[in-house]
Amino acid sequence: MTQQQAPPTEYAGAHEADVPYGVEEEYEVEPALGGAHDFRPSRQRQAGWVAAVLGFVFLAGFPYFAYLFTTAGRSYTSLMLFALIFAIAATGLNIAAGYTGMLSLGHAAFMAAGGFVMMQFGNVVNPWIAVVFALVWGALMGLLMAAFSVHLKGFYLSIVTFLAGAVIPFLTIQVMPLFGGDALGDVSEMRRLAGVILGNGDQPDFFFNAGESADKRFYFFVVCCLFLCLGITTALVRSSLGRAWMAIRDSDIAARACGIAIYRYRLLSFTISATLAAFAGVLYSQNPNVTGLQEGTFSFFLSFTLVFFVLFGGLGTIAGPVIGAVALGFLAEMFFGWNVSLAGYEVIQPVNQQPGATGIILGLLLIVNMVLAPNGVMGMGHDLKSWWDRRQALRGLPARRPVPPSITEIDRLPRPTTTFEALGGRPLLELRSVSKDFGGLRAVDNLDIVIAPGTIHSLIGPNGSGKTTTINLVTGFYKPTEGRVHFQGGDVTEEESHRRAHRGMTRTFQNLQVFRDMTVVQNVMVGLQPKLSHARSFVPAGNKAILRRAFGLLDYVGLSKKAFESASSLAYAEQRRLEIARALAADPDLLLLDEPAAGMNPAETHELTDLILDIRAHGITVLLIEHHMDLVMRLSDWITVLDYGAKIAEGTPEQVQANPKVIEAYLGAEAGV
Amino acid sequence: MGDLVQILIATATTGSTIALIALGINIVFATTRVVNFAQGGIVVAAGYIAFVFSSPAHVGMNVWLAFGLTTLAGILLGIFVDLWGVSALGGYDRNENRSWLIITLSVAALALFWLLIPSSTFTKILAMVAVAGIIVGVAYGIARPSPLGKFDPATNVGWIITTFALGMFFIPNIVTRAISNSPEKIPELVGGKAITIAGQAITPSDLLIVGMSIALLVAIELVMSRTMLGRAFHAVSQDPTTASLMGINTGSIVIIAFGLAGALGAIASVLIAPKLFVKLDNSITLSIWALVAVVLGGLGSTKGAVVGAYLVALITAAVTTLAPDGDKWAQPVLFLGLLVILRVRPTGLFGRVAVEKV
Repeated sequence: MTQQQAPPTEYAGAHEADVPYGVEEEYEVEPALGGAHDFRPSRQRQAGWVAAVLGFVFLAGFPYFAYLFTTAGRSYTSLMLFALIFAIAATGLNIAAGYTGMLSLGHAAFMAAGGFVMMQFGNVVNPWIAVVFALVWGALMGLLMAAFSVHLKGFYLSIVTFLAGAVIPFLTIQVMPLFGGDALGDVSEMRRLAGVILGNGDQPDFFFNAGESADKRFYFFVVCCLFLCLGITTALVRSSLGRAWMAIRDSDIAARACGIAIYRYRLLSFTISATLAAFAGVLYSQNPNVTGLQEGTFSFFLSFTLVFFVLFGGLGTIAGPVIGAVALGFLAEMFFGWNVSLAGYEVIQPVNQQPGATGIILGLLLIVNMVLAPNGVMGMGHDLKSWWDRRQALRGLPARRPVPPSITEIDRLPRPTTTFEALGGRPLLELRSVSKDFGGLRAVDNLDIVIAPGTIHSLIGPNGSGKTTTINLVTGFYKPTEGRVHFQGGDVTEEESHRRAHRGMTRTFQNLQVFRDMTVVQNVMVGLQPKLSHARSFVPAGNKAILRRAFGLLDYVGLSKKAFESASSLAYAEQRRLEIARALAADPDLLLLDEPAAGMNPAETHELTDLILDIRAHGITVLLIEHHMDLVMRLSDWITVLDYGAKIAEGTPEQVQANPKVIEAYLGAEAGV
Repeated sequence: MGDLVQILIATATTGSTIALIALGINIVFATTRVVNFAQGGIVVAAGYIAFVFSSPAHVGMNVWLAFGLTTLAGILLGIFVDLWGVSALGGYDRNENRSWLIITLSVAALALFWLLIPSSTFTKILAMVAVAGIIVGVAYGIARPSPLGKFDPATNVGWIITTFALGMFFIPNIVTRAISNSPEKIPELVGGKAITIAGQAITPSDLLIVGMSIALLVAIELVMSRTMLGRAFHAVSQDPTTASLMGINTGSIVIIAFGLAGALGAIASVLIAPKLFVKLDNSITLSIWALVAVVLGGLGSTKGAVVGAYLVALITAAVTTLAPDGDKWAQPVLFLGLLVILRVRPTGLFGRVAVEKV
């Protein structure tokens, strides 16, 4: 059957392994914005550290500059303090909105939750214990909001967060009196966190007058907290956890196919995000310039303002929220007297003699921002950098490239988890009289399919005959109306699709579902998810191992040269091969390919044929849907033919080709006669 | 009994107003998949424009004439929101040349710079820096190698920011600066004696609000279901690309939708003015109520928007009147109820449930 193989040509990846990496011809690298944190050229990585250190020096030294160069140092310091606290909240929001794709319009509620609880307990118990209470309450509220919203998408999710964002502060205020006291009261008598950690003494120094040292201490405390939060965020988004979040953001369907339990991950992301925002609320309430909290402080205006901060700086970037908060929150206040009063931060009440000026300019700035530079400041920087790189390339200077990891043969090759012997002669996959109804339409009708291990089993049929529905039934994206699905001898009919990926069945998609805003190699790293523990990915060495395997698989399918480019920049055929590499990453026993050759030219189809044969040669069973009949006939060990959801024929390619029913289904009744 | 009548009157009048605003949001959503946060801003701006036209201190014209001109202004405001806030984010089927946008934005930035130029040298320099920031953005927009392609509201969330920035920052503050900052009163459209039922007065204005709203709702529903224009609207709301392939000018339909929404907002604003005054807070209150109504009824469903509007008004009025401390509880109760409904039916009461395609 399949021994009638094509001449042993090299598949795309084979010859590249002979050449040392990084020595070959130049290629332009355009890392994806908002996802490319993992592996960058070493100089670029150093640049990240340099930027962090410079940022820290700037922010920490800001009060000194302000006192040196202006007469209103204290006002500027206090404005910057507010901006930094909002930067922490915006960083939290960025985890949900930028990295997980859940644009929350209610994050000010978590600031309220954290702030009110801190006010409630700050004087009663040790402030540090109160901080823990506040964070726990913030996390609980995050869970509550997530419980109402994670199953939704797009604007529906946003609107639920908007509603919950109004309810949560109210709820917190209603609950707090049960513990005695009043969360909205005066805080002038409160023991402040900064006092507790840094001492309450008031020593004037060169810059600060007496009475201002509490301001200063708290300012430095907040700067440290901000960088701590940024560090935590960076560690999270570079780990496999962060990759899973980004995968869900880019395509939740593909994320499920990669074994990611999307709701659980979104819940986690939302909770962490809410906790950071609650921490910002705690700091807000501890700010020596705040004399009391009002419910109105944390209205939906503040929620939207946080969204502005994140989008202005750059959604899904580490520095973006800080840039946005400092630029908009601080500059807008300073330039236009948005509200320079030290008592609190109100968003839209201009108090200067130019009524409305702030709002008008700010509105214009935001429109210019969204219309002309939708990726924010970081996006502009990214564009500038790629412009510079192109210019360098035109001048004939070498482009800076990420250093590929050194890989071995073990990293390259597909390896199924289960051996054929372990199956003990049972079929790998079995559909037992499976049917699927969509309303009145029966898409799959009483279908029996048995797939033997180690074979290439093809599913063919005219358009609309239920092939993709069958794959969706096998992989758990649809639940069958009737019938059972057995995999490796166990009944998996009721299992979620991500569980099935863990069991060893992975798939590609007819409508391409690559994670567009991640790099090519990150796409494959997401595919490795079922094979690793998250803890390992927080350690650089562990992450390196994951990278090696992903890079090896890319080399196997012939994409290693494009490993660090944005997945969306790949050509159609390359995206299909990327999906195959991603599906192979989970070490599957069964690989389901849904029209892998669609949109490929003959040469690419030929390479694909060899690739599929090689995958089978490594012991992975393949279920193939394809319309290229020459490819199907050449590859398949066994073919099942569907028409109107029902099986009309099955057998070897020769048997199927000779079957009059098949000819009728494809060409009409007369042709079959 | 008095309470009940009071609740019913409030429901009928406020509900009708919310229904008009909600219908505006809904028409825009159906054609563009954008939820127009600027609708509240239009309502407020229209109120102040009507005040300028009708107040003896300003123009002082006949109140009905002022009403007509305000409606016209509402249409223009709606189109303005589309041009700067939504169509600017990418094409539906219009060409990709956005020089008109860049020109208008630059002119606006420069004009504002001179209009708002602060007094002291220091703030003057700082204002220049801010305007320079805007100009940098504009220059970047010109230099950007590939402008945005087709606008997809599902993935490009810029519309949340632009419509909010227009409706909550830009438009109300222009109004503040150009007209007034304080609550103002507009003369009532109809005079006459109030009828008293169970101690509660029903004024002719109340009746006018309800009558006119219902007449408008019916008229729009007839246009949508009986005319070619209505069919074009339905086609665009199903699939803008296919609609434009069938010879419908999608861009014009979108502009008409925004203009219609603006007009509805303006009418609602003038009608409710005797009850709520004309004030800046209305932009928040009314747009939140209308938004809640649309989501409750189901985004994209006309029936849903109307039913949602009256439900929102009923719940708000009932809680405010009956519960102790009712003002405080009305919004949380409303929102909590909506959250529970959305947990069960994510697309609202009358929204269609889409099947996820893999």
